[in-house]
Amino acid sequence: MAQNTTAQHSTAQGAAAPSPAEPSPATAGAEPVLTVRDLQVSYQTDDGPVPAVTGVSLDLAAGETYAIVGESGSGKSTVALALLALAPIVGGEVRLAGRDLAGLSRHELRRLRGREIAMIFQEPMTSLNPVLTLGYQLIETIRLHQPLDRAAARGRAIEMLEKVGISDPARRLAQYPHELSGGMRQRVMIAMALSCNPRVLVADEPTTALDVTVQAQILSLLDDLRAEFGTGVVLITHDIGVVAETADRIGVMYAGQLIEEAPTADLFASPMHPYTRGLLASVPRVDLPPAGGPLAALHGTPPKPGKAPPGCPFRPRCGEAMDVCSTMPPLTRQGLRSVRCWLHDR
Amino acid sequence: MRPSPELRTLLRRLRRSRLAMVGMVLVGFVIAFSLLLPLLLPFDPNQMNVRNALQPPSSVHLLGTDHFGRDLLARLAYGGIISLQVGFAVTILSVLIGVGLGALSGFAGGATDTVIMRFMDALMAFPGLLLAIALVAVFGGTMGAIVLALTIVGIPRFARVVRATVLQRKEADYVVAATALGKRPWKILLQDILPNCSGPIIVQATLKFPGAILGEAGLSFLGLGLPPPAPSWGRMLQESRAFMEVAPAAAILSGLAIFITVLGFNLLGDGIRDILDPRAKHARG
Repeated sequence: MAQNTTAQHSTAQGAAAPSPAEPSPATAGAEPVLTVRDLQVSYQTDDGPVPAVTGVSLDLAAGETYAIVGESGSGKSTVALALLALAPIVGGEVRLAGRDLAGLSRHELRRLRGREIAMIFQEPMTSLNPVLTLGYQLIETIRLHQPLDRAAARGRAIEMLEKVGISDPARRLAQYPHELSGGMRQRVMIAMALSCNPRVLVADEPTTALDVTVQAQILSLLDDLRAEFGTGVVLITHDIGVVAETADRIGVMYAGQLIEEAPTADLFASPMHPYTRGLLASVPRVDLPPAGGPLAALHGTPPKPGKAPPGCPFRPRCGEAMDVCSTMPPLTRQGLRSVRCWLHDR
Repeated sequence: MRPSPELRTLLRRLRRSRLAMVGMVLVGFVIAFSLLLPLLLPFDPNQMNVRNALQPPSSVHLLGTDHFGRDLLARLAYGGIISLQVGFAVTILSVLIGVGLGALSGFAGGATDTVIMRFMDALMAFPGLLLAIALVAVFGGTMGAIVLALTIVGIPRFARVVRATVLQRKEADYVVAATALGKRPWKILLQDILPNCSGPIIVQATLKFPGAILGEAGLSFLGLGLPPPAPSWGRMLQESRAFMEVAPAAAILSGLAIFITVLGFNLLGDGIRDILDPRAKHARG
């Protein structure tokens, strides 16, 4: 299946040269399908530019799931949009299959979206156009990127609906979004996003709006499809528990920065950044004996975008803050992990 | 495509609203009156017979005759056709042009937006009827000129409503999702944004319709409408004023025709707005 994928992409990949950016150890060997280097995103507002992302670097290999975890306002959704060049990137670079998004025209970007990189959103209830049938939206998306006639595209649409576990797909095509539940709609969104076999799927809190049982179904569906198609998945979430099972690696974001990155098991076993430690301590664990006493909570609130103190943005909430923390710590790499904290600067 | 689910919900809610139903009955009556009577009546509305002038209702002339001896019922019915023609033509043209300009303005933004909207502001700065009078004075008293004048007066309101709604819908999740799937911008505008702006457009259109009828009646009352002998309600009202003390039927009936038509469409429009506008009270009964 992975070979199939490669064959379909061969034309698009023709011009792709090996990425000049050095791959991180985690993806060494295989060329990463997506590389982000020192990404900076800033929104223009009436009060001047507000930086939402101030330095994110990551690599994603084909078939890998990379989770970005962070609180509301940490910039994780902005990273998601920036991966599709849908947010105002002011610095750094995003390379998809070796191509720098900054060097592409609007037309080229449009051809990239949906075909090379696709996205699913937090709100399945409102992510589909209410006045068009599912079939129309699905078939149109397929024909947008693939040279299929209507009948063939319809066949492909039915096949995709089957793959995402929707019963009686031929009949569903004639239905409108309001006739489906939230979980079903998210399945349709996933079918639509994967219908053109993109290299990368960005999932921005895909299960936040869903019931817990449906959450688990959607996550395992995403994982199955990732394995089947060899799609690289960037999973954005505020719920670190959601990613424990499906993510290969986790990046933790705080105030627009990636402050720690590690393989999932390592992160849970030995979080390095004080913020990550606090985050993990605030999640109830069923696999550990109860500690007795209330769950630990992180005190204070994250800084508003653009209002972070100089130096480490976590400093005001950190129990281990030192004098040196008033200057920005560098991102230090240690084996497969990296962390942005003076405690680990060796 | 089947009628959209929104439209079916709208019709169902409309049947539950009493005022809207009254409006619907009045509108239905006016349309039937204007379209069917000319087929049934044996009179030419412009056939004069001075010896027969100002007759009271009789078995021949059911509502009597005017000061030229023309059958009043026939003139009212033919006047209805003129009113409905103006109403439909002005509404359709205002919708098409206003929606086009408003959608372009809201979707493109930037300089396009500024130029279009400042032009609309300038148009709106004139009192509607005065602008229409000026335009008809320039273009002359033909049906086309009247429709054109009332359309120009009507466009800015549509453009503003549509621009505001487009700006809102542009941020909708399904629009971002469509963009993320690589859909072309003009297709997003036509398929994802505009169909979901239909509510405010429908409301504005149902209010534009009686407005246009009233505008035409106003113009012809002032002597700027269709030239005589065209049986426009406004002109009939104006001409019959001179004979009100001898034969009040003509003045009363032409005024009543305008009143019933405008009231009917207004009630219907209000009913639709109550249903479509979530801010209105008792929106969802």
